Amino acid sequence: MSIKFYHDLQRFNKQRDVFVDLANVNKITPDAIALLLSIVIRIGRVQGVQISGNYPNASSATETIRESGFDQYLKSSLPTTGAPRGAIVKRDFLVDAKRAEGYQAQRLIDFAAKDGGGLLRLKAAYGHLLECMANTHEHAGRGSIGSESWWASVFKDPERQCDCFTFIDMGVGVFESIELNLRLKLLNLVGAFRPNILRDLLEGRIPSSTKVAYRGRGLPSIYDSVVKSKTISRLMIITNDVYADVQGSRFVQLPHSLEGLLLYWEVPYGPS
Amino acid sequence: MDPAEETISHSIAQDFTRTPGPRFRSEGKFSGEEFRQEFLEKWFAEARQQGAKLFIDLDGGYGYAPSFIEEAFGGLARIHGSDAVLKTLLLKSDEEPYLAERAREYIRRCR
Repeated sequence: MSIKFYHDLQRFNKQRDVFVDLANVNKITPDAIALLLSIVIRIGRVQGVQISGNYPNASSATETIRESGFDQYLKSSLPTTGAPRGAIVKRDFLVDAKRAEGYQAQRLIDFAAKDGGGLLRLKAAYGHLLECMANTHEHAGRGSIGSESWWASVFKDPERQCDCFTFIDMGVGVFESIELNLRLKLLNLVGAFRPNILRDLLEGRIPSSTKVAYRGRGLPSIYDSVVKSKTISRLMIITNDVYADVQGSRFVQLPHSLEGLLLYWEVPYGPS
Repeated sequence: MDPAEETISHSIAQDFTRTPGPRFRSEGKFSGEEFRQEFLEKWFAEARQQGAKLFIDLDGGYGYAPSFIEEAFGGLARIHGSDAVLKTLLLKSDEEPYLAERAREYIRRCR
C-alpha cells in the first residue's frame, strides 16, 4: 500500500459509505495497519459514514492484520484469532480528560514485555510514546491545543526478533505547525530543503516551536535513542511530504503528502 | 561524597508512580510538574535544611519521557539554581544508564 493510497484516503470527503478493498494486498506491515485503521476510523467519525472492507487474498497478509489488534476496532466476520501478536491503543476522548497518559503506553509495553526479554529493554520506548502523545497534544491540533487524536501500536515480530512500535497522529504535521511555519518561511527564503529541515530538527539544531529553550526534547530524544544510546532501532518518520529513515540516514521528499505524523521504531528482543 | 554525610533517599517508582507521564499537569497525569511540585521540592528543601544529600532512585518504573525528567530536575534548577541542585542531588539509574547523566545535563542547562 503506497503513500498515494493513504494520501487519497485521507482526503476522502464524500458523504457516502466506504469500502476498503484490500483483496490485492500481498504484504502489509504493522505501521501500515495502524495508519489504515486511524484513517478509516477518522473518516467514519468525521463524515458519519459506514466503513467496511475485505481482507487480502494473501493469507499471510490477512493473518498479520487479524493478529495486529485491528479487529478490536473494526468488526470482523471471521472467527476470533488465537493469541494476538499486536496491540493497538488510541486516545480515548471520553475517558482521558488529559492527553498523554502513562497507562496507555503501559498497555503496549506490557504486551511487548510478555515474551521477549522483559521490561527493561522497553523503557526508552515507553518514554517515546509519552513524548509523542504530549507532542500531539501540544502541536498537532488544527485549532485549539489538545484537539487532535493519536493512535499507537505494538506488533511482535518473532521472525525478526523485535517489537515494532508505531505512533500516528492525523494532525497538521511537523511542517504545517503554526510556529514552525514561520521558521519554514525563512528557511524557504534561503532555499532550505524540507528533508534537511527534518534532519536539523531531529539533530536538535532547530529550537522548540514553543520558543522556550529547555522545551522541544521530543523528536531529538527519539533520534538520540537510535544514534547514541541505541535503545531503539530502525526509526522511520513520515510527516507531510517528507520521509526519513534515520538509521539509513535517508531523508527524502515524497511525491504525495501524508497529513500528520507517523513514527515507527523497533526494539530488539532481549536475552530470554 | 563524604561518607559521614547524611543522605535522604527516595524512589520515584515507590513514592510517586511506576508510570510517569508528560511534562505538565495540563498534558496528563503523573507529570514531571506534578512530581516536582508535590514531592521533589519538599524532599529538596528537607535535605538542604538538614545539610544532607538527596538521593533519588529513577529505577523501577516503566520509563520516562525526556520532558518529564527535564521539568522535574531542570525545573528544580530553574527555581534553586543549577549549582545548589547539583550539590545536593544524587541520581541513580541502573536500568537506563544514560538517564541520570541526561538529568544532570538538564540541570546544568536549565535556562
